[in-house]
Amino acid sequence: MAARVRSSVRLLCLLGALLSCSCVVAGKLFLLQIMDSHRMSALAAEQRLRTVALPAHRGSLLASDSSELAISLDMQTIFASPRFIADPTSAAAAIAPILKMNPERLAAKLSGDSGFVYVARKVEPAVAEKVRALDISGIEFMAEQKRFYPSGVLAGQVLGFVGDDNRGLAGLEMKYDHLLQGDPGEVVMERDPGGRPIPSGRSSVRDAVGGQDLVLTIDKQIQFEAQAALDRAIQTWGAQGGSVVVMDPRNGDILAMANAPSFDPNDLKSSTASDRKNRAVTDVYEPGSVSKLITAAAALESGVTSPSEVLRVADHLKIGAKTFKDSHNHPVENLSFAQVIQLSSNVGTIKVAERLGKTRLHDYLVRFGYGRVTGLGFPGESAGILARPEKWWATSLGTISIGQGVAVTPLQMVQAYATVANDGVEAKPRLVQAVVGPEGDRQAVGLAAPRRVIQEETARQLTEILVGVTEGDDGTGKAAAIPGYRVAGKTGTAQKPLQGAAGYSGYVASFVGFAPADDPRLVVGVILDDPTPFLAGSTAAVTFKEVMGFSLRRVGAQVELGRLVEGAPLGAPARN
Amino acid sequence: MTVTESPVRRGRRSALPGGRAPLSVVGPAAATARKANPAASRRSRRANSMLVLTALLVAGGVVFGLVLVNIALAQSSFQLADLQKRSAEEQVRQRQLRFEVAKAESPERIAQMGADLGLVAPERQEYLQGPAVLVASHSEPAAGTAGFELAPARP
Repeated sequence: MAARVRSSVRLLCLLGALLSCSCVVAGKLFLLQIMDSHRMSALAAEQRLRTVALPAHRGSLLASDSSELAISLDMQTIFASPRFIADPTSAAAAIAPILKMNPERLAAKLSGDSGFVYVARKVEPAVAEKVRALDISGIEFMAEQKRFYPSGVLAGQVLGFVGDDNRGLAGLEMKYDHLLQGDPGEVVMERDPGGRPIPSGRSSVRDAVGGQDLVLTIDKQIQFEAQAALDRAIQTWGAQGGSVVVMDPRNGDILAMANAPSFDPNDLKSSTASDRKNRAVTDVYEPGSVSKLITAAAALESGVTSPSEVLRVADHLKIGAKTFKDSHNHPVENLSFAQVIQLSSNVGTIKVAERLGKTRLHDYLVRFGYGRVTGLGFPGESAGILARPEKWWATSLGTISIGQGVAVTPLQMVQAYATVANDGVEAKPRLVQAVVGPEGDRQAVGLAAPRRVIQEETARQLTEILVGVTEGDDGTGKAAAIPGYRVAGKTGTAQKPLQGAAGYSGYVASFVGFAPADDPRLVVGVILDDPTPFLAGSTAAVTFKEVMGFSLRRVGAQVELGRLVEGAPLGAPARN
Repeated sequence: MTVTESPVRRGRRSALPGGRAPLSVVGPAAATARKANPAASRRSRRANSMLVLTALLVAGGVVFGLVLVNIALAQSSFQLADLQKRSAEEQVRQRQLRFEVAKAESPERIAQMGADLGLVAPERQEYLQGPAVLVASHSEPAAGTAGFELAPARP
């Protein structure tokens, strides 16, 4: 009897243990299959499925004639899995001569237990084929794109450059990276535990969509001439640097934007960060007398003077503790307001500015684009420096009216002149005129709404005054005159403020103008950093003439009959 | 020659006007009759065999047809893949050629080639001027080369 009872107890215990185990297993199953099923499914899928990215082809940057300024080509990147390379030394000895590498360094790279090392990135496909032909186990290949700039230094700072991952890092490459890079695709495939694709397994493909091409407003020939003229100026007058901007005032199209020093985006290692800056939009300078255009515009538009009003102008003027002087000593003269601008008299300009007052002058400076970015949207674009009138010093009206104590970018200054050239209407500058999709569909980029800044009559009066600068007997910009065309423009020789200290050292010489004056097709701005001689009329005006002369012929601007001066130099002279 | 029909056939024909024998459970008597008539039994089996064979042939034909269609589809997909590959290769080649053209068209390269050939930039430009329109432009010849005379403007 007792034995039967013990047996029943043992059975019950065993049953209880079995039931407990079953409960644990069932509980775990519940957790895995019900509670945690999504995570488990995802983990399983992650183990089985492999996603391979399909890079999209990066769009090109095209000049206005649709020729490539930047293009991506398919290259091969060679990488290695050192743990699968049986004899790194002999592998390196075979590969190094093809890739022009040091065999010892390559052997060191291929040794070890690493799973991945780059051997060479973005090499020519033909070179990669030679390495492939060696059939070395552990050496693998993958396609990568490489960015090329076929015209080298041409508009290098405008185009910018890309990094190793083909993302734009500067210039238009950076600004329009979202359009250029396209939409990468991907292949999802099921793989076995060894990592090999399963032929009948689950797979899906999403094709990459190529990036869009951008058609720029840059004219290759004008850009080249602008850069060449700037280089000649640097060489001839020993300037530290400079910028040249060529713009169509009717629509704001920038036909050329050259900077010195320049750089070749194909060879980043040979350049410094300073070389790579697009100084025409990132750097500011005190414009000096070139800025008298805005003072004159404000004065004429406000009716405080007229071009023919005669002013008594001494060669100096004291405001507070500061004495303003003209560029040369002269007795008190009777000058018309037009002559004040044409002779670039500081004293005469300040006298008119005093009638305007600081608020009105500030208002017109803002209207002409001082103190705000142009709307080009270029990376690193500066807004310039313009203090609010309430923060002006007692002498600020005098300094700012003659273009000192205020700073602009070369592009801002060119835009101000373009506004006058365009009958007083401002057209926003632009560098991209059209976008071409991967299928070849071209979409023009719309122009920003134009904005009237001054009246047409004021613009006409200013144009006549500026023509006098290049054609008048005492005009400061006679060197900018171009036979066959009426040229309107203004010289500017401004002192350079010291970096990080008070005071000035050196000069910035500039000339900004437009032609033909009666129907302006082009505005050209030339800014030279500390040339010798420092006077703009002897330096920047000469470079202006070279660039403007070439550009007018390039765009087919009609020569004004009866204005030809036979045998006179025209355009770029040869300098060997 | 006279043909005598068997009693069994006669009996069947007389059963239905259409000449088809009515269905009936084959009893031991009929089995005995088949055994007694092996030729009829063979014909019946042959008919069945023909039916099965025909069905097999049709099924085989369908399978074969499906295989053919699959092969054709596979061939087309191979052709498509091949064309896509060729298209991609041609695109790469086109880009490479565009790059070469762009390099060749580079103003810097052309200027350098001109300089290498001894060309110089004009020091002076003059315009041939007709009665109302600009006709042409002319550069002064480089030193040491023969130039051409400017035609006088027409009155």
